[in-house]
Amino acid sequence: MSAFRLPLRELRRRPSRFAVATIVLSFLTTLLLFLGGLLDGLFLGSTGAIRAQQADAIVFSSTARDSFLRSRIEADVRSQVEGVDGVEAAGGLGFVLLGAVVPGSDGLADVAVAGYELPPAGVPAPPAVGSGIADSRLRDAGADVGDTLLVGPAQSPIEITGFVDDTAYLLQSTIWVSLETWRAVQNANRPDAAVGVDVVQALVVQGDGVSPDAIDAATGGATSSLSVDDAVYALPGVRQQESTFNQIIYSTLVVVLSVVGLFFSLLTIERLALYGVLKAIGASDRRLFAGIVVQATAVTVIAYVIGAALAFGAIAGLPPDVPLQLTSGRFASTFIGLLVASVLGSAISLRRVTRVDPASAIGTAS
Amino acid sequence: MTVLDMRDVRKVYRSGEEEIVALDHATLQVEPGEIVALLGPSGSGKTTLLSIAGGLLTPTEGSVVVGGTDISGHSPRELTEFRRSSVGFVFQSVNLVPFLTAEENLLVVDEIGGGRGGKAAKERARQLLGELGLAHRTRNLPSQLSGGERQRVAIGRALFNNPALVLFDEPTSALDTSLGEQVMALIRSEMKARSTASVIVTHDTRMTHFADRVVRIVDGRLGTPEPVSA
Repeated sequence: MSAFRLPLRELRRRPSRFAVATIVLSFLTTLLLFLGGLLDGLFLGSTGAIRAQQADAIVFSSTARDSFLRSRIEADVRSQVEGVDGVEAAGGLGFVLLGAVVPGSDGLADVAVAGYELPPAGVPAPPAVGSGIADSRLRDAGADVGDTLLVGPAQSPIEITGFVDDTAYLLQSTIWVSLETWRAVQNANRPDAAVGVDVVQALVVQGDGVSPDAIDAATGGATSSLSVDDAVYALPGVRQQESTFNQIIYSTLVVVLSVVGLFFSLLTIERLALYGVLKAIGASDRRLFAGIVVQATAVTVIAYVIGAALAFGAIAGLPPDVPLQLTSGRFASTFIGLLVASVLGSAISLRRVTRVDPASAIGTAS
Repeated sequence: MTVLDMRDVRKVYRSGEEEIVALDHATLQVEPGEIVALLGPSGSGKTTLLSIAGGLLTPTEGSVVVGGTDISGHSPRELTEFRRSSVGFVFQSVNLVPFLTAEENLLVVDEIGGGRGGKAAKERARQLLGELGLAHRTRNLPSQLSGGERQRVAIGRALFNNPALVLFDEPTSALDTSLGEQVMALIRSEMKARSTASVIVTHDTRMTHFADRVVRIVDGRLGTPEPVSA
C-alpha cells in the first residue's frame, strides 16, 4: 500500500493539477456510455424477439437470404424438418410490421405482430385468436391490458391480454399472437404477401444435438438454418450498427489513451527534478512508475464516476423514443476499457521516468 | 572502521573523440563522526566525487568502499538499494517534496523503501524534527517554512535511515551568511552527536571552519588535506 501513498497524497492535496485531465476524461466517459447505451438500445430493441427464442435452430427458406419477411416454409418442408434425427419440436414463426391505433392515444404505434407456436422465453403459450401479449415498450405508447388495438390499414383488432419484457423486433413493440391471428393480420394488411393456411415464415426448431447444417441437408437445400445468435445478426442492420458503434467506441478509447498519455507525459516533465531527488534517495524506477499508474487509475475512477453521473443526467433529458439503454455490462465494459486505456496511456511516461538520472539531483540549484 | 574509503578513483567522460577526466586518481578516507569539507571552484570535480561516494555515479577506475561494502561494481539496482539504506543526501536546492508536510518528507524515505510509515517511523520522524528544532513545524508544507527550516527538514530526511555517511551538496548556498552559519553549526552538532561521517561540498570558505578537515580539489585532483583554522 505504501506505493500508493505518495501519488494519492499529491492527488488529494493538489487536485487542481489533475482537474483538466479529470474533466476531459469525464466527458469522454459520458460519450462512451452514451455511445454504448445507444448501441445496446439499438441491439436489444432490434433483436429481443429473436434472442428470446428457445431454439437450437431457426429455419428459413433457402431463397430468403435469412430474412423473415422474405421467407416462406411450406407444409412439406416443415414435415422434412420435423423428421430430422433429434428434432423434438418445430414451431412456426412469422412477423408483420404495421402501425396500430392504441385507444386513447394520438397517432400510430409501430408494432410487429408475431405469430408463434413454441413460446419464446418469458412468453406464455399462444393466446386465443384475436388476442395478443405485447412487449412492455407498448405501454409507453399508452397501451394497457384489455385494450383492443386496431392494427394496420385493415384495422385488424387485437386485444392485449398481457405484457412481456425484452421481446422487441426491429425497434418495434412485438405483439405475440397465435399463427392463426398472425395469418389473418398478414393477409388483411399485406395482401401482396399473403400466406396460405399451412405456411409460416420460419421454423423454430428444438432438439437434442440438432445442427442447422443437418436440417439443411435433410431438406435437400430447401432451407437455410441458423443458430439463434446467427439469426440475431442476420436481422437487417444489426451487424452494421454494432460494427459502426464499436469503431466509434474504440476510436474514443484511443483518444482516452492519448489524453492520459499526453497529460502524464507533461506531468512527468514537470517532475523530472523531483524524480531525480527521489531516485537519489533510493526510489526505484518501478516505484516511481507505479505512482504514475496509481494516479492515472485514480483520475480515471473519479472521471468515470463523474462521467456516469453526467450520462444519467443526459439520458433523463432524452425523449423516450431515443433507443438508449444502459446495461450493467456496458457500465462494466466502459470502466474496464477506460482503465486499460489509461494504464496504457500512462505507460508512455515509463521511458521518461527510467531516463531520469539520479545524479541530476546533485549540483543543480533549480 | 573507515566509513568512506575511496582509492585511486577516476571518472572519465567521453565526448566524441575527446576524453574528459572529471576525477583523477582521487583518494579520500573519512572516519566515523568526521566532517570533511570539499572545497573547489566550479568544474573542479567536487560534485563528481560526491556523486561517486553516494552511489549516484560509478567510477571508471578505482574502488569505493562505504561502510565496509565495495560499491564500485554495484549494478544500478544495487546502487538504488545502497542509496536508500546506507547514505544520506542534502541537496543544494533542498528539494523537499512540495505537497508533503515536514514529517511526511522524512517518512518518504521509509515509504520508498517499502515501509508503511507506521508508528515507529512516525516517532522517528518526530524525534528527528524535534532534535532539529522543528517540533512545531511537523505539519507544515515546505512552502510554509523558511529557507533555514527547509534545510533542516532536508537534514532530517538525510538522517532518517541512520546512515553511516551523509553527503552535503552546497548546503548553505541558498542561505545568507548568518543562516548559513546556523545551519552549518547544526550539521556539525548532529553529525558529531551521531558519529556520522560527512562530506560537505562547498565553495564558501567562510563555512569551512565547521569541518574537521578541508580537502581542496582542482581539475579533478585532490590536494593535501589542510588543517582547519578556527
